[in-house]
Amino acid sequence: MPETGEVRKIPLIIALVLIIICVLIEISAVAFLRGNGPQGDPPGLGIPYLALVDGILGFTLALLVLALVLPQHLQAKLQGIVSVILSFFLALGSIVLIFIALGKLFLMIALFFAVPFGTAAYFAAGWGTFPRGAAAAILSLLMLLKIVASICLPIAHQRFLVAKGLILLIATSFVATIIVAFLHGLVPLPAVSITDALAAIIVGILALIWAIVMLVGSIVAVVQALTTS
Amino acid sequence: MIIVLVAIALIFVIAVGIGGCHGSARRGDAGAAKGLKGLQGKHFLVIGDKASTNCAIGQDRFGRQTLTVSSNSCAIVVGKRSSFRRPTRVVFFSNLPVSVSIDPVHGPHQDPQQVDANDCSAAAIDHSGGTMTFSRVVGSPTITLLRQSC
Repeated sequence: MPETGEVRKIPLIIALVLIIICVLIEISAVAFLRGNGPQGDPPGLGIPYLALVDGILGFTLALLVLALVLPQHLQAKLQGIVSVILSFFLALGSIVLIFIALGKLFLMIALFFAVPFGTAAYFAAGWGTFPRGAAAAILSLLMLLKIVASICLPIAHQRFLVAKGLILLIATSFVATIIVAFLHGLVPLPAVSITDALAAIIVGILALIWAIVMLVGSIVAVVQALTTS
Repeated sequence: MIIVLVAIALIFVIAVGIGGCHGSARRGDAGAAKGLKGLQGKHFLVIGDKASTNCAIGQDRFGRQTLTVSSNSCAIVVGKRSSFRRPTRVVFFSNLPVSVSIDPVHGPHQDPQQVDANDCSAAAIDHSGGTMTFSRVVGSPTITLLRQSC
């Protein structure tokens, strides 16, 4: 049994692995949610965009695992630099992805309500047949993995329960998943692609906020590390 | 913590369960998506604004642009616009039956579809542009372009 204050490695590593699996499922969900349109464009954006938020969570857990194996002085420097680079590109990527989803959302809305030619084009593009069942199955699996990962964290160490940043990040991940599931179920099937793009935008904004918070935090940490050394 | 996780799982199940209520939705039933109608944008097709045509252009007494299909067919070519611009909305009616086909640069080609006389019809073309072809069915139809929804 670990001593008081010591982090149990196995539950923490399990939590990290589960979140990495979540990110991989979210990214590969594109293949499962392929549309029926002649171009085979995937109609799903919401689930792949979840990888942005869960990627941040995975990165945070990876830092916690690294803290167990790396010496403290090396860990502090490495954490700051890697966080700055990663959060910068994540923020940039989130902005680009938000605009991609916005463009797609505007196009789908314009086509959907432009009866009869636009609506026909909307259905011809495969957007009218969103695989809601497959999406719900993927989201349920993600939710299960996230719940198990969340249980593993306090098992690893009870102080994770008072780490506000980590708790907020986990809560954001849950909220993002619920938003995607809710927006998939909110409208009748022909319009699900529209609300899915809306969900993707919301998830993208959540990821952007976290990326900015992480970027500011890591810049402050790097500056502090440089001034103290 | 367990209570919080159970509550999250319950909220998730309810969110997924809502989807089951829409299982037999009709094609035209947009439900809550109708709330997004306002996001369609107000960029309506105007000949001259990155759009050209080989149809005979005119104007009706309300100042709206009209296109006359005097030969067998004529087309409107909508040019490429900035990626951040909203789609171009095409709203029109014809005084005689006319056959319309749309070939967007990105997206599937739409086969010709006949529009009845005085029926208001709409389409949308994304920022990549496309070609809209009008073929006459009888006589020389005059197509009026509108700058508002049907």
